[in-house]
Amino acid sequence: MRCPVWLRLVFAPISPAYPFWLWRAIRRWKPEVIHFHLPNVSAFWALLLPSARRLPWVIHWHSDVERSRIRRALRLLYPYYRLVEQALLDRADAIVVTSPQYLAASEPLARWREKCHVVPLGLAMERLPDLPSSAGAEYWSSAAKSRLLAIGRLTYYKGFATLIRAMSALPDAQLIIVGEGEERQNLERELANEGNPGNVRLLGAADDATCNRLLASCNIFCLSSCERTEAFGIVLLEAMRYGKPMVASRLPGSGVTWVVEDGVNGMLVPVDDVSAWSDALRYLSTASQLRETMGNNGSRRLHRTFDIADVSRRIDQIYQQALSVRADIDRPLAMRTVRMPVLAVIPALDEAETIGEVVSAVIAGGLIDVLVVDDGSRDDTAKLAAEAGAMVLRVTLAPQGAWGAIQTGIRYAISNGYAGVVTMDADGQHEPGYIAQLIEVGRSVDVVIGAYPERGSSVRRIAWAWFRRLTGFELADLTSGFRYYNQKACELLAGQEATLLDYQDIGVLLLLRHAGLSIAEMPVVMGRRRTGGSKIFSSWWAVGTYMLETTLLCMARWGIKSKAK
Amino acid sequence: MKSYYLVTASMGLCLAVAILYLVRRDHIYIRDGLFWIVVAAVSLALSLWPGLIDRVGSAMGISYPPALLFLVAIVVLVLRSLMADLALTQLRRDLRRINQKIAIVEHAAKNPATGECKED
Repeated sequence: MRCPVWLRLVFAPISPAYPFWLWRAIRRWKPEVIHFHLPNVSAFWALLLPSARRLPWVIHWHSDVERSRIRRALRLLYPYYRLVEQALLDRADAIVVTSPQYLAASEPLARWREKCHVVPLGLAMERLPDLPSSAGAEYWSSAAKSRLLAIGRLTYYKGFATLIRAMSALPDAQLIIVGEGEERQNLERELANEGNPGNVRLLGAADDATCNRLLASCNIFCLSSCERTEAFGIVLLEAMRYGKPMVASRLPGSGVTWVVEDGVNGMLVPVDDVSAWSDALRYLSTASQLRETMGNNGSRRLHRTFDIADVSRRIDQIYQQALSVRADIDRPLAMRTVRMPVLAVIPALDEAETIGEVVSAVIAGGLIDVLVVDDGSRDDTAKLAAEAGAMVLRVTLAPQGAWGAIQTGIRYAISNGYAGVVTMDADGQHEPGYIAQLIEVGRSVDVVIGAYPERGSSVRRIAWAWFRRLTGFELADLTSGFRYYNQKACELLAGQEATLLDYQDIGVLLLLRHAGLSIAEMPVVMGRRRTGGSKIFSSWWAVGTYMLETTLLCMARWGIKSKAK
Repeated sequence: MKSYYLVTASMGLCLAVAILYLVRRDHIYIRDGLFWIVVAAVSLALSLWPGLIDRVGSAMGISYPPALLFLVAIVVLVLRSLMADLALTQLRRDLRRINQKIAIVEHAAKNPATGECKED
């Protein structure tokens, strides 16, 4: 097995140098996968970095950004943050969440459930040495019948105040809170209100070794957090490492309720319920047999589920999966074994003369399925198309027009799981040989137009020049009906907004550009129409109406310009 | 004066009766009917008290009060016809989409193996 290099992006504050740093890291280490840990504002730079976009992304979702938690000044920016966050998630190949509970309750992830994987945080067992339970005895008062421990930054969501209040009903027990933070003064005030009981001690910050000794020597570990900000509770794993029973808040939508199984390796208590906390702690303090059992269960659960070795193996699997999916997409067209999930859509109205030949030619190419949308033909168009091997939709109620028929095909493609559509005329002027190339070009842009500007009569050339001026498009062949639309474009064009367009040309392009989709042209050579002439450029009256209508359409979208490649 | 009064009164009355009849017979969708009933009420009121328009006109300082009547009527009709076009556009769009959907669903019904519509 090869040993790939993963680039891990840890938390970094907003910094203008970040994109440069990221770019350099990608160049130097040549990672195969980028693993983002979110929330992390700087990760959004990666969206703008082409070299980062080329790699598969795995996102480690540690917690949602809770609106209540961010400062007021930042709250205004939140909607924009949401936008970028969703773009990042959209782009990600896989999302790792730390518990099923958190995933189920996470609102930002709701749209992306399908690519979410639950992998818990893991504990490296060897990091925590074996210690006898007498190890930290000097911290506890000898009078205490029961030793309760809580570890965490002194901050509001940790709910230490609840714990302190609960202790007033437990004079025989002693509580030690390890940690420092901005809540200290409030907690001291809380203690003063309780009459500075001797059985609660705010130990302040402590190093790992001290924490380990305290963990080894306590009887019960407490996690009283009162908000979902406590997404997982990795400290619980450390308590389990030393075989301690746990009492934790029953936090809805948090991984805590997953790590602690009520009645198995600990107890769950309603959030902020002081009397429930006292009851649970008193009960567990007296039941030494139960404490022992829960401790052993916890130890077993830790090894079974939260061992860092297993966790990293599962993350590796996710990397591999992301890589192999990418590899398949990147394989050149000719090498792909799977049939392209692209549908050729051919609108047809009384095209019996040519339709059979056109359909057979596309099918002979062997790349894609063919759908003929028969817009109410009175001849044998539908029958001949079906005989040639196409799927045939018949529009029966009222004629749709060429674009209406194409939209029917696009809607069919979406509801049947196709990833893109190639549109062609039924009169045989579009060469099926170009389809593969069209799709190939379409891998880097949303829409590809098969362009053959040489076909124009002088009237058509004047019309094109006029519309290029009006719209600012730099496309040579604005009206070509030989196009490739990717899934994004299809979804846009299947919508209400596109329904009342009459021709598949400038109106469609304007709509696509307005939505920010990229359009590219690819030169092709078109054959002569085998039957009839252009439906648009047939009479002066028709040309006049067409020009006026399309001009109006362009004017209606005035000022909406962006770059079209 | 008398004959003028008779003509306007009978015209307004006819219009009002005709509208009410059409609404009752369900020839006008009730939401549009509301507009037409207001029109009927106004034309009835104006035909029974033709002096009303003079009084409103002079109150607004218009030297030739019937002009007010024409102005209001034209504005209301133009708005109405604009809204009718809006509704018509929506209907055209819906019709087209329904038509497309039928084509897709019919195809799926005929080819149960291949066609399966999971979404709109």
